[in-house]
Amino acid sequence: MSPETSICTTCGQPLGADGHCPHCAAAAHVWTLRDWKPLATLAVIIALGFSFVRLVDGAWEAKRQHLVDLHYTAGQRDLEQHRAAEAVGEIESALFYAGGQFDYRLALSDALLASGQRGEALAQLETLLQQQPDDARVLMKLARLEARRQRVEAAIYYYQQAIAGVWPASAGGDPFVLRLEARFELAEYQIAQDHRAEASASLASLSEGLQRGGHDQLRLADLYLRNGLPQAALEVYESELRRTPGEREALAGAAQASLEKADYAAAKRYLAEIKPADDQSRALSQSLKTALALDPFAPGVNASERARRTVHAYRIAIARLSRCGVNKHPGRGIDMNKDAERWSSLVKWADQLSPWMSEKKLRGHDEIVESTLRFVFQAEMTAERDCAGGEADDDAMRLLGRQRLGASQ
Amino acid sequence: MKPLSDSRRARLMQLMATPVRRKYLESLERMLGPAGVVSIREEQFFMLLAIAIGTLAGMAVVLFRIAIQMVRIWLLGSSLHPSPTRLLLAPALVGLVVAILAVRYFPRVRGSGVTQTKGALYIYDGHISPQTSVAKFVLSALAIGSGHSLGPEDPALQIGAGLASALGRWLKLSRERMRLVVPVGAAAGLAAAFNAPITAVLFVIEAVIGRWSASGFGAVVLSAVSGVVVERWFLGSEPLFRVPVYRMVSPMELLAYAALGIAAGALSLIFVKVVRELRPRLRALPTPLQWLQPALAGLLIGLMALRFPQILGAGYEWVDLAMRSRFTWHMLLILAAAKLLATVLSFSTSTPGGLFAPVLFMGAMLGAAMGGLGHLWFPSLTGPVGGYVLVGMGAMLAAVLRVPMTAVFMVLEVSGNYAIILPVMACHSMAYMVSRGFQKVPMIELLSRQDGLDLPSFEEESEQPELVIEDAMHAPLVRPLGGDEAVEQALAALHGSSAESVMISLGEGRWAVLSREQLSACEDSNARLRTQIRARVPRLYQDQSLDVALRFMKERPMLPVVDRGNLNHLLGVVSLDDILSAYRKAGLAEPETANGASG
Repeated sequence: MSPETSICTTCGQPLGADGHCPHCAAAAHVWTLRDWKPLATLAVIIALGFSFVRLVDGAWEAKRQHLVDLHYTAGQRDLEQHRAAEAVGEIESALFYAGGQFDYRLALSDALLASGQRGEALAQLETLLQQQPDDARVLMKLARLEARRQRVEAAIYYYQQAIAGVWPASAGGDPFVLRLEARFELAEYQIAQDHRAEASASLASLSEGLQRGGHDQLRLADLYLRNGLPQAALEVYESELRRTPGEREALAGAAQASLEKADYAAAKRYLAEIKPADDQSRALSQSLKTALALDPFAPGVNASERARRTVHAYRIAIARLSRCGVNKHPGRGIDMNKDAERWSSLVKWADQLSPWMSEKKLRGHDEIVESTLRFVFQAEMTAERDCAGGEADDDAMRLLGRQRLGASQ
Repeated sequence: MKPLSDSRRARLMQLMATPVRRKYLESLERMLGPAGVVSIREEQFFMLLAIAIGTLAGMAVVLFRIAIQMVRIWLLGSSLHPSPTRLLLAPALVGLVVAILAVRYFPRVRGSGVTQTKGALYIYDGHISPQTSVAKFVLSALAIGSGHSLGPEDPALQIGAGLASALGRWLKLSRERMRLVVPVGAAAGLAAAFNAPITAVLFVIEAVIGRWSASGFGAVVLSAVSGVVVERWFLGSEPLFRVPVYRMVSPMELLAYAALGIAAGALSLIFVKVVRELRPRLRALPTPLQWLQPALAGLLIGLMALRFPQILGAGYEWVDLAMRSRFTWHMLLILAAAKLLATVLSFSTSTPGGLFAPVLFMGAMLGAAMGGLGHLWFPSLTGPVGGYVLVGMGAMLAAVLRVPMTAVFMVLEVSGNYAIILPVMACHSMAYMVSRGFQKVPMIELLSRQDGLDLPSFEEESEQPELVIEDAMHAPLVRPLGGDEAVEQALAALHGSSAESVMISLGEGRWAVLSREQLSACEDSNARLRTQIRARVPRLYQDQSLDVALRFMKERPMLPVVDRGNLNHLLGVVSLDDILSAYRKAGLAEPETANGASG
């Protein structure tokens, strides 16, 4: 645009031919260094103001930090005393003064969880995860939360992410130990969820990362046992016993593993080494005796005795089913919960076996014996999972079941 | 520093024989200026002053924010869930104190601060008394800190403007600069309070200046940035909200955002209409009753806060939690309604404090509720709640304060995520349309008119049909002549025509006008037209405002309208009669008020 049609951006009047605004030029004051007084005063005002604000801000900062600590400590105390609602309020206050700091948000998610506000806790954690996607503390909390919500796949995913994640210094411990704990927790969760193959893989990787000896090895062996891998457990226990002979926990574990392998002699031997006997070893001895007395396939058991033991096992299972509120006759009295179908099929199975349940009829019918024992083990394991109230005989039956059916259950 | 004497200069020139050295000497001389000292023009000085204003306003706002927090701790305790005694006493007693001071001693601190700043700009030539600024600081800090449902942004804007005004007067700035200095301070104050410079600049343009103006824009931006830098220096760079990462799950979500816009528009209508009805009635009551109003409002707010402490003060901490699905959707709707009621009570009773924060709070709760419902009904089609909160805040701002550009840029600036633009546009346009459809006068103008002031409105000004030169120009009655043609030819062209003047093209886009009288007076009829021209006339373009033509018209009979692509091609001419006729036709010749509105 030509100068003739340009307009002054300051006053809006047309510019002159030289491109300058004659109106503003006339009104404008030229500031020179001779006008130093107001300029210097302005500089001094700014400097003084800055110092004053700094002073006030310093005092406020100290006050703010004090309030953060005050409310956070109160929140933690409330959490310890199971006053979750109060804890949420206190930690929210701490968070307010902390300017939304990450660690306090994490604490708030704990308080929300404790107060039963799972949705809110989950939203908090998801936001924190967006903020720091590798933070293992957040991932662990998310894993536990998803586990509580029965979202198995999500929980396992978060556990695995946490193991691979970053454990910051503020996590409160050695990152190596914390990561190991996460691995144990994942393996335990997978076992609890009956994800045995995945749990085996987790245990295998866990065993590679463990130092020789110590409590962690015993935990590992225990997890092997719970995952239906008595041989692997026994190897770990034996290794521990070679390192520290007479170690009570290792002996008990080895006895348990041997028992699960149906190696009654070895179990007896390990139990005998535990001196003096304690509650655990006594319970194990009792289980051993019961197992030996109930096992239809125990060494030296003849066909007649096997038939008798099979009928006895059948009765134990039926008794267990009735204690769980399941009537022998299908369609009546069955607890129609989430596994109603499985219960129904068990009851049908029991009805089919019922006419055979005498020593006389069973003798010579090994296939019926086999089927009966399968029914017994299935019933015991289902009952163990879905309803409480098992007795010593039931425990022994489950033990025998695990030996016979192995990891397939 | 003294100017160089001739002899010294000659000696120096000898020494500096090379062209580079000579250039250096010349530039040094230019810098020293005619007075022999380093000098800067007021325009340049104004930019430096803008930085100083931004710095001072930033510091003032830091103190203001700390003051609010300290008052809150002192009166309500440090917990976000204050005790019932404090809740019932603090807002009521502070309301009484604030009312007495505001009604009796500082009437200009009542209300938000935006209308007062605008009034100072347009009525008092940028004058805001230091007492008003100090009183605004103290009384707003007391009111907000005690739990009245108001925010710190609008008072910060007025504090910044007051500071700038005081500085301008002290430095004896020209009247025009004084008018400019107020928005400069206002932008700095708001930017420091909201920690968002772009939002502050746009809000000042839309809500305070009320019109697009290039003048002082650079200074406004500079001061806003300075204010934010200072604020972050002291209080840290933590944003007001920690916005979760936004993502749109499905395009269908836009429908939910549009619904949110309608809801925000409806909520804004309720708010504005209740304030519109209640505020003048309360203000019309006798003075002793006016003293009691903020106290009564405080008592009612305290009662509500017994159940919903989230409504106290600005409430940003709760907005932050709402972004993380802290509340259920029905609780969020209750909070939005409770905040509306509390803000109506605080604001209508003229308690000092801003509307910005409560409006954002309401929008946030509404947005979070909508997001929560979306997750409940269409979990696979709904994105994170944080996005709804953010968009809801902007929608409410656009609908209540009618600052659509500020609202859009606020969401973008706060989220730092351009991907949110589609929901923002869908939601904000709906909210804005609903608000405009049922409430003609924007909130800020409504308030200023209730106060007896008629100030320019950005929205109303932008609605004025702008007349352009094309609306007034007509084809030349006589063909344009070249500068090298003879006077005789021009007279012949005018012969038999009603035209009184002829356009002369001088080439290179330069034009002149010669009247019949001038041509007749010429003694030599063979003389070239170029020789008869005393002054050129400015050329115009058909898309320019008619206002521009009016300014250039002066005593000239007509002005040429040329093609932008070919400056020698005459499209038409425009005369003063044409301009006035166009204005008359558009009905703008005699506006009822300065804004063209009926008031």
